[in-house]
Amino acid sequence: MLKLTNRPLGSILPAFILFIFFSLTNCSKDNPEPIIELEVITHVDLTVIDPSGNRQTATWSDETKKVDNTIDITSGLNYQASLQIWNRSDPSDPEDVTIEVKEEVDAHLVFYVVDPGIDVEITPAPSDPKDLNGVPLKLNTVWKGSGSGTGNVKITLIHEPTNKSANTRSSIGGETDFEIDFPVTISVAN
Amino acid sequence: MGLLEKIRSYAWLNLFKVKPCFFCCSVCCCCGVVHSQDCDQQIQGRIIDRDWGNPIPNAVIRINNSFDSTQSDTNGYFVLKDICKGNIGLEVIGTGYELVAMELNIVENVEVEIEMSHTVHELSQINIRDDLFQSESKTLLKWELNEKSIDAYSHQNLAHALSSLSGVSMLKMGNEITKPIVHGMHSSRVQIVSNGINLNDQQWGIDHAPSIDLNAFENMRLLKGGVALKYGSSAPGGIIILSNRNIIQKDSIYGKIVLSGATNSKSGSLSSRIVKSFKSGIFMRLQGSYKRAGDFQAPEYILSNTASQRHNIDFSIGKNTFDKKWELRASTYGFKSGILRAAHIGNLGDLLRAIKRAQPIYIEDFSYDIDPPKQTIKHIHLSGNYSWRLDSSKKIELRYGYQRNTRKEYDIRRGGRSTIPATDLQLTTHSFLGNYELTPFDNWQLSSGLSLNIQQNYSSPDTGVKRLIPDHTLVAVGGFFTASYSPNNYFDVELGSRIDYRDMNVKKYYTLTRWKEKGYSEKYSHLELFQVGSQLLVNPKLTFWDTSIIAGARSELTEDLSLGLSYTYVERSPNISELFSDGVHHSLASIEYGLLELKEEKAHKLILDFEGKIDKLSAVFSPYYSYIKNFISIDPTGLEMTIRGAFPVWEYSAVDAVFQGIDLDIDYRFTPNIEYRANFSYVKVFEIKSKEYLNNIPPFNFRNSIEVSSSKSDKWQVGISSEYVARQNRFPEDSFSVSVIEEGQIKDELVRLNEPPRAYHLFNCDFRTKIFNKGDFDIESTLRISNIFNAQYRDYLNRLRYYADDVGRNILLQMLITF
Repeated sequence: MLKLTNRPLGSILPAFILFIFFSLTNCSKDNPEPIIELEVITHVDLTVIDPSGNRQTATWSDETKKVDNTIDITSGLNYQASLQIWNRSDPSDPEDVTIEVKEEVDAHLVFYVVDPGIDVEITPAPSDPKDLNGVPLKLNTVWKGSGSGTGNVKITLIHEPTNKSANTRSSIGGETDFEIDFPVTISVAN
Repeated sequence: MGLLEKIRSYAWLNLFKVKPCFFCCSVCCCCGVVHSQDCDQQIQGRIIDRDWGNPIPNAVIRINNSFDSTQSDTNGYFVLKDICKGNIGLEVIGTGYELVAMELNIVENVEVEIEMSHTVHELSQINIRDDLFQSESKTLLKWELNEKSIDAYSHQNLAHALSSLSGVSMLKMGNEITKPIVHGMHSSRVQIVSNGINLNDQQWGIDHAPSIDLNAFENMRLLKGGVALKYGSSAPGGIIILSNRNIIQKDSIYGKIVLSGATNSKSGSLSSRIVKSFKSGIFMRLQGSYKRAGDFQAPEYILSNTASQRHNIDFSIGKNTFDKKWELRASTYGFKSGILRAAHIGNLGDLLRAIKRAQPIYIEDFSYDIDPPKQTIKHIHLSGNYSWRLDSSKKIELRYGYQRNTRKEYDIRRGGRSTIPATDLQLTTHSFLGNYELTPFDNWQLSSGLSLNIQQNYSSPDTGVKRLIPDHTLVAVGGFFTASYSPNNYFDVELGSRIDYRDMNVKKYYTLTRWKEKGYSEKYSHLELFQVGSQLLVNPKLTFWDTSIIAGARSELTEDLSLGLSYTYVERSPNISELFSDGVHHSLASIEYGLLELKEEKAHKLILDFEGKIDKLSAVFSPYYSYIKNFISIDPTGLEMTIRGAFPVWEYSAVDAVFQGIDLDIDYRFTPNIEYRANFSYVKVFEIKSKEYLNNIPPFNFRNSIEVSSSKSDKWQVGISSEYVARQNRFPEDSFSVSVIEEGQIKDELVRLNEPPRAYHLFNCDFRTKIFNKGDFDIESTLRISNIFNAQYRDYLNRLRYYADDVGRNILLQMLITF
């Protein structure tokens, strides 16, 4: 009464062992592939050109985790400022993220906050891309300083802002793609 | 026959140890014994637990209108001799089981198998049973959720169902991604066993809910703070055992359908089960469920992008006979859920702004769409088991399980990449378990076994995002031994030990800067394989020996008071996430790092429980104390400046911690139809040296309910319940300062990451009634309103508390059809 009379698993067993064998060997992969990060922003260049064509560039780099340069502005002059955004995760193949941001102009907004200690007026440049509602992206801007002083211009790239016409970071919503303080010195023309 | 004789005499000796109250239950069948000359027949048989199939020892088998009676032995066997031919009434009485009365026509020697069902001792709709022959634990209280309670939570999930118990809370990421916290612990510290196999899904983070559908099971048991050595030893928090009832050996077909609809989230679900059994013991069971839910609603707004979908199909076929059992089972579970849109943020400043907002910034119209951020989970589970009894005192059980868990998490990404998962993990596990149970002497039970687990994780490189969990292979070999001794019905002792060897082979890319910064480049240069750009491939091979010990005793001091004491020592080796986790969590703007140097967690735990009854009042009081060396916790360690701005860095580290708490359950029956129930849970957790509190510890909570039922108890039932959750006043002060410019001023503001929300009190009610009944066909409907007053609240254990209120009022209508 207590003996094994039949073995229902008997016929399945060989197939079962094969299944385990294959599923184990299948998974034993070699070294994992390195991941090239697709949408990381590693470098942001701020280029500022004065009316006579002199160019200054300040770059945030993910390697140093800081901005390498201070932008000098002479009060009263109009400067053409532009941002270039890079993914240099793979140094041999840098990706220009600026193109992607321009393509998705509807989902992006660059927001500028100037330190209270300095006075820089930042307006969209005529060449700046606009979204469907005509709201400029503010990737290309015109900077005009007044007075003198030193401080930061905080530049934020916002992804999927909820309200582009708002004027505080909080009411614009969205999430921060980058947020960098660029040091700026304003001096009075001599 | 010698053995049987012995059993019988033993039974006579022990007869009077059976609780007298059970004799009162005797129902006279009045099937008068026909006296004749032939009084030399015998009835031989076995008493089996109907739900679990385990033998029931010490059950009293009596023949009506006679003094003939005996008791089943430790393996449930009994024999009654000198039985006269003709009709006799037989009565079986077992502690904790419903009385069985049957009629037998004796013409010759007969052999019977008698199944007994558990008596339902409802306390918080949960039955407490210290089942006599459960191999999990004989001395620790088991909390049981029966089929009725599981049906009531059919529309929700495992954590919701469990969190109605004292000592259990819910860790949430919204309302659908939830996991249980037992005695203050969660994730890999709480083990889930599904039909005898450990659930091997991805338990790494708060946003990883167990990949299991409650509807696939008929019974759920919880050992709070307990360890079931058979299934492993790595969970000092507790173990949840999900299983199905044993199939009865007869030709029958039965099943049920649960239909639910809920107003909040405008959701609907259908769950159905059908079971066909044959006299030969062959059976088939098919279960399926589907649920679809839209956006949840807080009292004042829609929680946009919290819609979800879930499905489960479970099929098993097997044979269940007296001596042997086999079962093959296949199940597939799928779950897809959006994550509150407003919780996807970029940096600490975004978090601060979100906390300060009265309402989430994204509130859209109600929808069923599941957009990024979202997660999709698939879990495939194939298993087989085979068990047989060598003789009346030996049993062998073999189990195998194959599980494949796929987890894809989608973020909001640029360049149309939102359709590419940002996390794409596949965890494959093979589990083997062999178990040998032996009853060498009366009152003794020994169990021993071996287990082998092979686990592989594959993290897809196509995500374009750094791997959160690296590729790895884990091989774990374990062996255990338990012994229990029950000299009588009033006393049980058990002792056991388990050793596991774990070997982890990991291949992970570290960024060169991180590798150097942590000083790994000096200590572990031998693990380095090669460098690709700024990444370094490293091959750590880690081995751990985990030892666990359990010791427990339980005694019924008087008829109305029983006392249990259990001590467990558990070593838990760090999991892959604690060691190697590496990535950004958008829902908390945090960077998370594992620590390669973590050692085993060593937990000592002492649990005491008193189960008492005074007149109409019954109560379970259970204090516990746990000292854990090397408790692995994740805490913010500083800010990391990134291109996105400041991010708090959360790193795993080991601390020495104390967990102490009290669970209390009270049940007061005013009349047989009016019942009051309450439960309290309190747990305090702190680090020994710094006295600092740990995060995510459930605050004090107090639930109570009153239920009125019709005098025929199954006709209708009305209940009101309330749940009070206090503010957690013990939390670590992890705060970071962010500078913001407001109205032309630069200000520093503090982001308090663990700042708990205020206390809340919710009220619920439900009404249940039987609307149709004909034979086995039964329709019951339930109307349940939760958060009746649409209270606005946030829960400390909900990770989305920074962004939005918790869900508001919900009206659930449920139809339960059984046939």
